[in-house]
Amino acid sequence: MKSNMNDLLSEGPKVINIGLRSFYEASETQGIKVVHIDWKPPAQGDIETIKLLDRLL
Amino acid sequence: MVVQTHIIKQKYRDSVQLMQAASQASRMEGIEMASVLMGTPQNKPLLEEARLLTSLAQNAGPNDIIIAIKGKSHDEVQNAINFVIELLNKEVVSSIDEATNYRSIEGALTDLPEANLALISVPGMYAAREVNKALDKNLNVLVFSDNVSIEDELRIKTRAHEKNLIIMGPDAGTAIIKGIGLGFANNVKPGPIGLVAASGTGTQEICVLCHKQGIGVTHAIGTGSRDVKDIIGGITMLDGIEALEKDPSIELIILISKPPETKTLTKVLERIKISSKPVIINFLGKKAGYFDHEGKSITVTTLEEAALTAAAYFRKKELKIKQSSTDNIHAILSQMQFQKLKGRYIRGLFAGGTFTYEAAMIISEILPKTHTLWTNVHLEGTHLIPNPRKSQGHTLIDMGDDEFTSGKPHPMIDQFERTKRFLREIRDPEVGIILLDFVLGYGSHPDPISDMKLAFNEWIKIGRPMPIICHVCGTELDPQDYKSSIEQLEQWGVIIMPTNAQMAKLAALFVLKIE
Repeated sequence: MKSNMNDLLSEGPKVINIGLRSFYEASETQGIKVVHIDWKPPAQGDIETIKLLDRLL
Repeated sequence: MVVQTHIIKQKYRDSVQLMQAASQASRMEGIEMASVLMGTPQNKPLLEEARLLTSLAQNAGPNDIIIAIKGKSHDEVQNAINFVIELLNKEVVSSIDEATNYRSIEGALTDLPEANLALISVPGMYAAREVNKALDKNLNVLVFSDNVSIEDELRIKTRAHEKNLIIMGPDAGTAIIKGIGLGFANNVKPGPIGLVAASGTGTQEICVLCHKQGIGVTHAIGTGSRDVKDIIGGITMLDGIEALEKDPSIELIILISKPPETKTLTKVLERIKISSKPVIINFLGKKAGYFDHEGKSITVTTLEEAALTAAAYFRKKELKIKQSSTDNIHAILSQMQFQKLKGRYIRGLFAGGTFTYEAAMIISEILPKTHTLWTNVHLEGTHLIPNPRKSQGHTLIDMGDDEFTSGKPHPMIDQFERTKRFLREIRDPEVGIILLDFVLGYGSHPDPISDMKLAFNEWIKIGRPMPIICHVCGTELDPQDYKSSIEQLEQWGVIIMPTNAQMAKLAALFVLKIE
């Protein structure tokens, strides 16, 4: 997979939406390809654990 | 007064869903205040400040939802809590097909391997992590989230630049890519204009006004407001200019931001000098200076001028500043009956940050120094208001500022706070004229004008001669019904101005005339 900034402008956005569901819905309304990630805070939202996990992985 | 809290364990809902639930609950009978938040360490001080942090709420975890409500009676509060629980449970059944609802970028890419953009709107403290994951997969990124540290912003932008990818944001509220609106964006026709912008509502206004001039906008690249600080050095702004220059569909570039810091300003201007396409520069006012360069770049001071100058360029292929006529403003002023007016102060309640800034800039330039203009935007020639929740003299307030939106929805999504403030202003005998902006488009309130119907009816009922001026930033293609919104305002007797700049000029000249 290869997408640089100029491909984005010439092909138009094909979106992975991470966060607000309302943005997924707005993208879908405009007829573009979009998938939604059902995002939740990782490691129960604990920043120190997240940092530790990132170092380990 | 009764305060009750309820915890929903191990459930995550995004901030818009939670804020909308809180907003609906706070409108219920007998309810004074409602907060619905994730139980993160960042959110608990907000509850404490609102005196809603009970011991139950104190013990909630970051993956728990806290519902905290204050009201007149136990029954009314319990009723509101039950309403919120039901609403949040209902949200589980969303319009999103489970088949396209993924847990990770890897999973999402199996369904959409050709994806080229990650749109990230998670809470700021987690955003940089998600951006890095998207960059790992060679995705361009639009970061809607705010509260990303400046160090993280520099890291992710540098990394993206090295990979020939672009990071729009953080805190980029608006973008248009090949005619598709992302975040808060108006539906405008595509055309030969491309924007690089560090301003959300500024971008929306220019796109809408270009559309109304019959010239389309194909791309609007949002940089995030800190991009023009020297620590970032305009990475996205420079990459954005480069991308628009390479795109054969773009013939003219419009650049908009508050004045960049010194080193970044030099870099940006050097880049513009060698641009193969003409550039209209708008650094919101005259403070940064004028950077006209051999007919290839030109500096304008208002959003309206940027759009009019762009339209004139396509008519004559000549880069020359075009300003609007003031005939309309003088015609409106000549019809006003000033002898009946009592109040003399301007009160502007804005949803758009750049609209507040631009209006403050214009009004402070027109009014003599004997007039003090109070505002919550930092701008030379105006005074920082001590309490943004209480107007004094001439006051312009950005109601989308952190002061009003911490834990609460932005006024472009929910106008509860703005409506309450409006009701206070129309009863204030010192007020002479009120300014309101309405921002339509994707992501905004589905019908912001009807939403304020009761408040406008109250203004009509009071019957005091106190004009209300509105500017509606929207097009007939937007999801809201633009035409009926305008008709509704006209029916109420509101003065509608075609641009934010003209709304501000009218208000300032109104004050001069009653003196």
